[in-house]
Amino acid sequence: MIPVWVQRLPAIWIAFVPGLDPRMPPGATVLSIADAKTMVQNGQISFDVANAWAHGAAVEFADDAPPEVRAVAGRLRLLLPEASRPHLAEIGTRFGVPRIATAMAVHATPPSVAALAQELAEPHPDGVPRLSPEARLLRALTGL
Amino acid sequence: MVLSLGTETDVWNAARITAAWGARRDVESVEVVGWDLTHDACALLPGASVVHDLPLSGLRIRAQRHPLAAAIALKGAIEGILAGQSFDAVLNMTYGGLAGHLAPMFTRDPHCVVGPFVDETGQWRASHPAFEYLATWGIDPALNVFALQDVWSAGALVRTDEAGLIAPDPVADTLVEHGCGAGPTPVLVAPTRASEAWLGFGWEALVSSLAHSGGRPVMLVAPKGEEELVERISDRTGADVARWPLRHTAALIKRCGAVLTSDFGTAVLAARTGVRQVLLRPQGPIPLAALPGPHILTMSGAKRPLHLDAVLTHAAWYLLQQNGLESHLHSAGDGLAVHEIGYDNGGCLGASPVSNAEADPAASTLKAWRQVWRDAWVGLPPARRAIDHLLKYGDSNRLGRARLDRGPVGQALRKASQRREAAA
Repeated sequence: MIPVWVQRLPAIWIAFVPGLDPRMPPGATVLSIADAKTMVQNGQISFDVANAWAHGAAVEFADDAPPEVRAVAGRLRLLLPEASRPHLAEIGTRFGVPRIATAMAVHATPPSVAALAQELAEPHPDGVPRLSPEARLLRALTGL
Repeated sequence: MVLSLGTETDVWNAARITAAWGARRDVESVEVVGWDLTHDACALLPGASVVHDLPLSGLRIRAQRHPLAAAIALKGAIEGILAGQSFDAVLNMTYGGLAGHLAPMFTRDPHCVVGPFVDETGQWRASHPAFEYLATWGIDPALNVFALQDVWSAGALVRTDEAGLIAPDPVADTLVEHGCGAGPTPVLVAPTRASEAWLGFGWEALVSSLAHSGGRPVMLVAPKGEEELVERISDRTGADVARWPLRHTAALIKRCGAVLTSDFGTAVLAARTGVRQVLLRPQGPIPLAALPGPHILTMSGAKRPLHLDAVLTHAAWYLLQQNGLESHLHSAGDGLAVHEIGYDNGGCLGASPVSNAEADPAASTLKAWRQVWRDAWVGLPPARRAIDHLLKYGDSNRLGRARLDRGPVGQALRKASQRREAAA
């Protein structure tokens, strides 16, 4: 998983000087500290960050990062689940799991895989709910 | 397609089936889906043309972080395997929720799933009575009378005594030739730390005595997680250690043709290469469900720990084929449980005691159990003679459970019991 990397340098420096910070994982979604602060203050995050988070990425920073970076990264970690909800439907549609994403967007905090699988069961005239492909996918994950 | 999401030994239970399916003219290709951790084991399966991996730890981490993340990753993995097509038949060889739900996703028609699977209402289904048997009787040594691989083969409509041997990699074979040199091929020993608690001797003593008296050098192979033990034994005895990848180890086992181990995983791998082996076991009943394969001599101390001399004598007789030891074998059988694993008349794996010249009543009872269940799986009524034998000699634990069976075996047992009671 490629992390969201909070960097104390401005994003434009990173864009123009590749390899500036060798500790940064290749392919990471990079956020400057200013961008991270804006997201934390507004409660709105970019699609790229929401997408990275929905793919399981964690918010990371360098081991020797100053307290300011640590603080803003910590707040971003807490904020991400809720702030990315508006993007979830879009992300889910793009990757072929729209119903899971829509069901997730209703929850204030990420529900468990098992709870989500229950919600996605399709009603049937005979009264026994049927497993949709997305519900089956989630049920399969409960068996990990 | 064969779905095997378990350990390496579970994967090798599929060997007979992949070999048989791969040899069929109407089968275009046999593809295996396993974990990334079992890729090497899956790659050894005979008849398999493609091996796909599911990322176990990656999926687990994603599932903990975010349900959507895990769902997207799993869906991507499934689409990568399917590549826009679907499989004509899916054999699910895992009794887990993940595989049970995934199996129908690889085919258009759920009726094409062989093995256990979860249907669209969320209920477990079995494609063959053999899998219902497996679900009911499980792997409990006190109840199950079949080796797991026999049940899977029967359910997949493959002969239970099909060899399904691992095909040696030609490159690995050349490596083995160089590694073993021009001298006699070594006897392979795969020790485990856990066995030191119940063996009556140290592995060092066994390795040095075997190398001294056997006429063949001893080479050590480290089972998973036993590298330190093997290094210690090697330091003290001077025996060589084969530190090779799995496919090379399989080729090495095949070339050497003799394995002495207390590790079940090594025993299964050796069984799949078709070589003779001695398997040292702790005390207790032989777990029939876990029988690794034929050509195995199992030894355990029935009442006391195994003695070094007894193990050396049996190893010399069984592995090194040294003659003139039969009389000693019979006398050395005191307090020992020594069984040879092979196929019975019905083509199923069973264990029979080697020091017993007369017919063993326990072995014949197990054979009768296997016969009535196998008959039931193919729709034949249970043989009356076998039922009578079971009621007379059968273990009360197995009889009690089997009487509750709703199928023909339970019915026949209940009827025969009533008949006996009426006659009494």
